[in-house]
This record gives sequence, C-alpha cells and structure tokens, in this order.
Amino acid sequence: MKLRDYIIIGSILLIVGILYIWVTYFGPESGSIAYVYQDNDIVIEVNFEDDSYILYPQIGYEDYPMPSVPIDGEGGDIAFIIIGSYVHQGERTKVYIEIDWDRKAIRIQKDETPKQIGVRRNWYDGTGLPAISLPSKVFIVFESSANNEVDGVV
Amino acid sequence: MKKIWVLMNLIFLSVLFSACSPISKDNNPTIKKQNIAISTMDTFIGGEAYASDETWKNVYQEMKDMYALYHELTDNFRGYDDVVGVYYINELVASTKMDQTVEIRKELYDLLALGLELEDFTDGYFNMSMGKIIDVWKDLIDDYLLPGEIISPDLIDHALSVVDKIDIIEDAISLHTEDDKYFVTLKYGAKIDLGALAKGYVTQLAADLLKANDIKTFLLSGGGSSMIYGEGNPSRENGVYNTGLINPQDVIDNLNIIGHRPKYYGIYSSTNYNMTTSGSYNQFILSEDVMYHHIISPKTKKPENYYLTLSIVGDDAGWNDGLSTAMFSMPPDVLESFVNEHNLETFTYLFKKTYKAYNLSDNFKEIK
Repeated sequence: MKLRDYIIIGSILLIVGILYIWVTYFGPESGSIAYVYQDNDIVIEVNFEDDSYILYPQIGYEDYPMPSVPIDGEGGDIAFIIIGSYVHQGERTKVYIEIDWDRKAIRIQKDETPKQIGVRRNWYDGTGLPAISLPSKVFIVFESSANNEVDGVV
Repeated sequence: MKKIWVLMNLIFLSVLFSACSPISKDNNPTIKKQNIAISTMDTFIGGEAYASDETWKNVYQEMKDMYALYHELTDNFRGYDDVVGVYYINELVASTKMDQTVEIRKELYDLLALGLELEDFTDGYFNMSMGKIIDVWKDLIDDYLLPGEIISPDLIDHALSVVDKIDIIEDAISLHTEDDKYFVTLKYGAKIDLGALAKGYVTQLAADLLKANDIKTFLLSGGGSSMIYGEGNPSRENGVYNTGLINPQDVIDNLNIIGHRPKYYGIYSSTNYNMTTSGSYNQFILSEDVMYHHIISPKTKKPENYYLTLSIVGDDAGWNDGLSTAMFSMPPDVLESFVNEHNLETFTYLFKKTYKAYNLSDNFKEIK
C-alpha cells in the first residue's frame, strides 16, 4: 500500500468514527417524542428534539386537531383543540392541548369533564403517572427515556 | 487497492447501519420499539415492546381484539348485542328475581373460575358477587368531584344503612361444564362485579401473548395500578425494569397543588415480574376525618383504612389484581400471617407516613 492509501483509509475510519459518536451520543434522545392519543388513535405527535409536530386528522372530525392559542404566561408555546369522547348535551366536547417546548412537556389545558383529573395533572414530561383524561379518552404518552429513574409507577 | 476499497466500504456501511439503529435489540435490525396504547375497559393500557414490524402487526391487532372482547364480556354498566357477559347475566337475574344459569364463553368462564379460586385463597376477602354493595359506595364517591372532598356524616350513615340491608350471598356464583359448553349460575340477590380482576387478567393475557410470539422485551401498564415487565430492558445496562412505588401520603398532602409530581418511597428492580398496587388515595371522600374509598371489604361491607396502598410482586397480573384488592381489606394481623403463609413480597404504605414490607427481597431500594 502506498501512503495515499493509508491516508484514505485513515480518513474514512475517522469519518465513520465521528458519525458513530454523533449518532450514538448526539442523535435524537429516546423520550423526546410524545404522542397525544384520542381513544386508540394518535392525533398529535410531538418531537421535542426539533420542536416539531405532526397532526393527524380525527376520524369524523377532519378539522381537528385545530390550532388554538395557549394561555398567556403559563409556558405553553402552541395549542390545539381536539375532540374528546366525553359527551355533554348530546355532543362530544373539546379538549385543549398545550405544548411547552422549553420544559418538553404537554398538558390538557382545558376540557369539560366533571372531575377535571386530566386538567389537574397539568404539565407532563413523561415522568410519574401518565396524563390521562378517561372521560375524554385522551392520553399523553412519552416514549420511555433511559434518563428516567423508573420505567413504570404504581 | 480494489480489495482495500471493498473492505473499507463494508466497514463503513456496517458501522453506519449499526449507528443508525440505536434501539435495535440483539443486533437484529428488524426488531424495534413498538408502542402499545389501547383505550379499553374504561382505562388506558400503555407500554412498549420490541418486535419486528411484521410480527407486531398481527400481535398488536390480536392484543386489541382481546381487550375489546373482555371489555364486552366484563362490562357491568352496559350490554352489547349478542354478547352474554356480566351485564346480561346480572340483568337477567335482577329482572326475573330468581337464580339463573347461563351458557357463557370459555373466556368468561376461565376468568370467573380464577375469581372463585381467589375467593377461596383469601378466605372470602376477595368477592366478585357483591356488586350491589360496591354500587352504593361507588355512587356516593362518584357524586363528588375532587378526591378528598368532605361530606356530611348523614350521607355516610345512609350508605351504611343501605349496604346493611344487602346480604352477601354465600356461593353466589357457581360454574360447570357440559358437553364442551360452559355455564355460570348466579344466585338471586347477587351481582357480579369484575372490576377488581378483569383488567389485570387481560393485561396478563396480553403479556402471555407477547411471550408466545417470542417478544421478550416489553413493559405493559394496566391502567396505572399494574405493571408487567419482560426482560432485557435496553434502557438499563443490566436489563432490569424499575418500578416506582408512589408515596400516597405525598399525593394526599399535595392534592391542592395542580401538577404535583408525587414522590416514590421505593424502587423495585427486576425482570419478568408484575407489580400491582391497590390504594385508596386516588378516589376517596372524607367524613369526620375518615376516608371512604372504592375498595370495599366483603367482611364489613364498607371501605377499610388499614393502609393507604398495598403492593405485591408476582408473575401473574390477573391473580395479583384480585389478590391485592383482597389483601387491602385485611387487618394488619390477618395480613401478616397471610403473606407469611404464602411467602408474598408485599409493601404496605401506612397512615404514619411510613411503609412496611413483608418478605422483602434485594430487588427493593428505599427512597428517602
């Protein structure tokens, strides 16, 4: 082999090494993706790595999730309205979802369920008990993260 | 020179592909994390499993179908067309005012058989035929919006007087088979309620389904009170799964703080296990400083307050679901001899801001 070959091989190994370290240690973190479910369907997918989201139209309510405005001063950066399963006066009611990019958290900001359990859970970042509104059948799920001390809670 | 280039390209591609699949299991690039999110049985089943897309598509659909089937069979609030389930049986007995024998599916038969086994095992602390008594307390608690609301002692006295008139029917449910058909007999006066058993039972079936399809790395959360784990957790070097045991007193002390994140009093670490908790701290009302919650003792026909939570470790979430409910109503002396007799690893969180563990293993770590 000539010196040029050694340089080429060395360069490739260096590039591969850098790529490996980059993807392994600086790639998207597990736990940076969250999903908002309504019943059995994902309606909002949130990527906290690049502050992006994907909306999936609700079956029978194609205009939802509908963009909304977060409550001023409470940390929310964007908000959406989805249609929950809780029925009031013959109609399925709205559920207001807010996303906070800084704290990498999601909350059910408002709904019309009587006990407001999901609303009282407030900001949820994937740790502790899941954020759930049973009457609305809205569930916020974070992909598990190696940074979490626990994998489940009871 | 050509050989060197081929070799270098192979190294480059292999390293690149391995780096791009950080969540692969066992170096098999087709196996990846699959999310579990099923809305069923008035709760939410969450979790994850490591499987190939091809395997997962069928397994996940089978899992969802299974939950849907048991939801219809065990729902005691509404009936479904062509479904002979708990609601149908209860309504039939109530409307005819007499004992009824009904042919049922094997799935419901097996579930009821497990319940009867639990009734025997716990000396009657588990009881799935006192639905009428459970309804009285449930209706009272559900009338109030927030946990910890204070209500008048008159309402408690009224509830006590109502349940006092409801008999606990002995041997209310009996099962038999005939010509490969399955039958249940329910005595008049009894009402089946599988709320303390069905969710854990089906979640265990879901875990069994995963294992039967060679999916060994998974976690399943059965509505926040039960966790089932496999092995080889990729998030931890030793492959264990950690369960946080919630400090219920911390939850109660901070009921007024919206978004409060409760502390854990301990963490349990292992593989291939189930942890199930029964507790009163999430759904209760107060009257004269006494908690009234949704776990009703078959012995006294009212909620008992020996513990705030009771958690057990085992390998069957269905069994543990019913068992933890039964054990929650056992007085401390009864509980102690029961757990020692059956060598059950058990954690009780008491009202004195402390916990008591029985048959403790090295898998538990206390959190101060």
